[in-house]
Amino acid sequence: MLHLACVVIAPLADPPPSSELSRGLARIARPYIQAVALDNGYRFFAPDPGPSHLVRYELHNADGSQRSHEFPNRQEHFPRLLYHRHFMLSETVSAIAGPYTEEPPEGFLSETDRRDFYKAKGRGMILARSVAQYLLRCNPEVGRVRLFTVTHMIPILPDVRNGMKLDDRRLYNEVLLGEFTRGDL
Amino acid sequence: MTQVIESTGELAEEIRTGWSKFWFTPRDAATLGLIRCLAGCMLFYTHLVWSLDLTGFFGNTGRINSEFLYDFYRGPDNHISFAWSHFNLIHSPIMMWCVHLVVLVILLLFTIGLFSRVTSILSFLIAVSYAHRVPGTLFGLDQINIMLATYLMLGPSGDAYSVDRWLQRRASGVPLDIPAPTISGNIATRMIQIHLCVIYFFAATGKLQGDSWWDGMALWLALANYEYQTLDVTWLGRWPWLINLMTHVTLFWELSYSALIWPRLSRPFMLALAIPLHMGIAVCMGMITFGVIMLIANLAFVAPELIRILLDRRFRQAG
Repeated sequence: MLHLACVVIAPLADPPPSSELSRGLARIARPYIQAVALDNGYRFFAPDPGPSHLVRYELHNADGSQRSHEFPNRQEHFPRLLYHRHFMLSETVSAIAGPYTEEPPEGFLSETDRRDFYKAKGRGMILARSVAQYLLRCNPEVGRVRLFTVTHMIPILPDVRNGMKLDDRRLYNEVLLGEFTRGDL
Repeated sequence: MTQVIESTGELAEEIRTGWSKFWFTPRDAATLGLIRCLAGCMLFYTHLVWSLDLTGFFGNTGRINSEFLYDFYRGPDNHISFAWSHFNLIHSPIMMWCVHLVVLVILLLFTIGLFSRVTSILSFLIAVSYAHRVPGTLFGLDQINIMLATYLMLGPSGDAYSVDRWLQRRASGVPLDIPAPTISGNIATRMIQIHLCVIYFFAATGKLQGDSWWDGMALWLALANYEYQTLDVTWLGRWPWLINLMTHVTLFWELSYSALIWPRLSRPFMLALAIPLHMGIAVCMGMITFGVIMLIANLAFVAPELIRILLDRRFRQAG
């Protein structure tokens, strides 16, 4: 019965919004919930099916040449489950690092909020840095990596009926996540 | 007043009897056995695919480093992490590969039902251990894999459609009856059923917060997502009312699942609707594994007698 209680408490407490009660109960049950991997929200395609997020990266060689790739990549990542692993990774990178790509306007946040913003930004960049380090290790000739999060918006139905393709370039929006060098390894 | 007390007593007795019947009526292991075969295949495939880039995902120098894991599981409040994984102890790629090969063998044994008692526990530990190492790359498939592995470990999932059972039959020299129904088999099946209801409940209530599930365009947003898409069905946009209908049916089905899956009258209808819904996700949105594992989990609501009739030759002949 305690297990079943945890089955309910975990998605009730996370993701937000959630009540103080559910978060309190989840805190108590946290050792068990985390140990048996019950810490899932089960909010599939909720609240709305959103746009996709990809990660584009530029590999800069010491001689000044560069190449660009992105993940997930249908041609490169096969079978579909492997593609989906890369897709989930790009979604996670964008979800935790993406919101902190732009500096908050001066005077817009209180000192506490500004401190929280930079703390969250620091945490958000850990995964981006980890991915960049991996790319640098896989490409010894590369001296510098630039990571971008690419948001691929979903076209509205009338636009598609009027001939817009799902991969129309106007639907993509790219933001620089960061630049990483061998010194970051 | 006496009548009120009597009625309350009767109600309490009914609840007590119903509770005991729900949890403690022995159940044939056919349903669990079938789920073990299919979920075992999925667990094996899931971990086989990890082989394509094992060190890239799980290695110390892979995409997800220990600094991220530390931060992810401890959270902003720096709690103690309970997300254990054998990968925290293994750093050499060769060792990692050796363990991975053993893991694949164990999952294969679990699928065919050999040494089921041990391999079911190990399969659960394997599924959790792998998931804990790669938090940024997981999705619904992994959650359902672990959910099924948890309850297959608790029940006698190796008592049906397994090599263990075949070996028992061969050793006895005479055709064995089906194993006696067990209470643990029933509890494991009930747990899958309830957990599945919780999953659909939160999936549905989460959707209620979104505008697109109310204005009927959510299915369009899913089908027109280029990165998910494997089959282009955007031509459905010629009939927006059809997109609206599919959206409403999906939401209503998920929302009512935890109530309508229990009555015998509505259960076949709910299970029948699960097929196009999950196969739609599988075929159109490229999540074949997720669509299939959800259908496998739904098998928990199929009576073992029906599974015996469909799969067991002896039962068909007797029938």
